[in-house]
Amino acid sequence: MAAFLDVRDLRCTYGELEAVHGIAFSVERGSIVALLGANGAGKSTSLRAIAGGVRRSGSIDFDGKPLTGMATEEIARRGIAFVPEGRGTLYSLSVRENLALGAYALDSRRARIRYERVCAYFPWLEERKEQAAGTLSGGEQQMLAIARALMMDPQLMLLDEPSLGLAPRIVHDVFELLQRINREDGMTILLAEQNAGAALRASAHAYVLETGRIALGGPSAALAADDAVRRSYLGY
Amino acid sequence: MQELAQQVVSGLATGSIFASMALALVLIYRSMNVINFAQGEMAMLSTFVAWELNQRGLPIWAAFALTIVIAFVGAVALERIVIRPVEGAAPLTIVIVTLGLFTAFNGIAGWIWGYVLKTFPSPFPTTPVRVGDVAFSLQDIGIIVVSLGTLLAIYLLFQKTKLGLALRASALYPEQSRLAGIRVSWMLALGWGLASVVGAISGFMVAPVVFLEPNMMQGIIVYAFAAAVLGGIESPVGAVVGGLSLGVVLALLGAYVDFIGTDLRLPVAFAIIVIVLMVRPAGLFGRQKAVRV
Ligand SMILES: Nc1ncnc2c1ncn2[C@@H]1O[C@H](COP(=O)(O)OP(=O)(O)OP(=O)(O)O)[C@@H](O)[C@H]1O
Ligand SMILES: [Mg+2]
Repeated sequence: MAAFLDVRDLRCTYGELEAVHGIAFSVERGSIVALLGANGAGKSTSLRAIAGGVRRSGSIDFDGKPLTGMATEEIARRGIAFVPEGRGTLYSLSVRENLALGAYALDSRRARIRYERVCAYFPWLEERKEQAAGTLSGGEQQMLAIARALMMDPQLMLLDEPSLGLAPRIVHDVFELLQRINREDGMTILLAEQNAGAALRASAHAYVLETGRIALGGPSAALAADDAVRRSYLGY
Repeated sequence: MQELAQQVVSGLATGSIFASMALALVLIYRSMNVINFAQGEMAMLSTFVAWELNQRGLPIWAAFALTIVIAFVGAVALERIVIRPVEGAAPLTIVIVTLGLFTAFNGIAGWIWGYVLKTFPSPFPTTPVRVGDVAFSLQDIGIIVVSLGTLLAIYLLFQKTKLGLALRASALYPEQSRLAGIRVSWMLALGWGLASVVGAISGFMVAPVVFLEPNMMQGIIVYAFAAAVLGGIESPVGAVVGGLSLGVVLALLGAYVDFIGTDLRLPVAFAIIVIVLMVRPAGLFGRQKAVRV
């Protein structure tokens, strides 16, 4: 049986430039998987390929059906929520509007149920719902981005560098939260990270990307325990 | 004092027409970063359609209602067929396309209806009403009520409905909107439809005043553009405030500053706008781009 998300021979191009050269990886339903790698390795590009934001070829099957050829908005409606690098905050809109937008494709009854679920994770959102999202702190914006993704009632969440620019304590909170969402909602999560330590601790499985190719992959615990792997690929 | 009140009301009437057209321009500008130069001609075409329907026996308000539907559907179709192929292109390309539409619509109207001035029936009684010892034109008041009512409806649609939120988000954050499952490209088309409806309504309001002919919106669109820039080209509220103040200022200048009269009103209005923009380059309501990243 094919995996929940099954990527094979994925190639991505920006104009003439090929940034990802035929990679394959898979994500099991209900798991957290990390894509690791240095600057420019192709982590963001791979996530964008799944969400439909970059020219790609190869095959991406989600829940048994292909995603290649689909536009971003249709992929979102299939149940994939993408929190892009930089969090994608809608700065000038209020917190409430940011969340409402996440629930755009749902009917109002489902949207209400989602809102309650999201407020259980983020009780502070309720009190600050009229505040402009751009005035939140970086950590709060990251939380809001995750909350907005959850509002979509997705089956798969993609997160691009959720720890970027956050203080270590907040990074810890973000990863803790992602694990909680994974545990309590059974959410499948694929995240790209340069912070290999935190990502390996949170994930079950990880792949290391190197200049557009997958250099290695395996259970996160095994990768984290292997000194040679750590030194040559993860740099910590 | 009475004259001042009359001038202000008549200024608000013209101003509310500028405001509507300015809002139509802003709606498109916010989502595509271009001025739709054909906006005025779309309004003119719609007005001709309403006139034609009225000539064929439809009561004027029924003709307006039917024309609004036609203006909406027509503009959505126009966006899908003509603008869609250049959606991602450089702004200048889109500007050229809208200029092309401008000439096309103007030519089409001239070809079908000719260039002879036509009287357009006023939907309002032309008799004045007296409030104390001041006489106001019911026509002016009707124009103000209809225009501001339209603007209020647009405001409520954008601010209070889920569709309006999606329209706003698509204009400001297209990428994020797509990720939320919003069909941004259709939102653009919807924006064209709404702008066209607002424009059509200003056409209905202005036609009884200026007479109906293919070039009737060209003066208005210049003032509307000025109003939009004055208010801050990305701000719908700015467009409305800009339009109303421009209307009132022009009326007062025309009435009280003798040497200005009608010929110099346009240059004087532009001089005022340039001065405002020197003080506030983003316009009165321009967005301050201060965000925390
Ligand atoms: N929009 C773009 N246009 C052109 N080339 C791009 C674009 N985005 C990324 N690239 C190129 O594609 C390659 C992979 O970039 P990508 O952003 O996927 O890397 P990354 O692993 O996410 O890096 P980082 O850790 O810096 O976010 C790089 O060589 C980069 O220069
Ligand atoms: Mg990246």
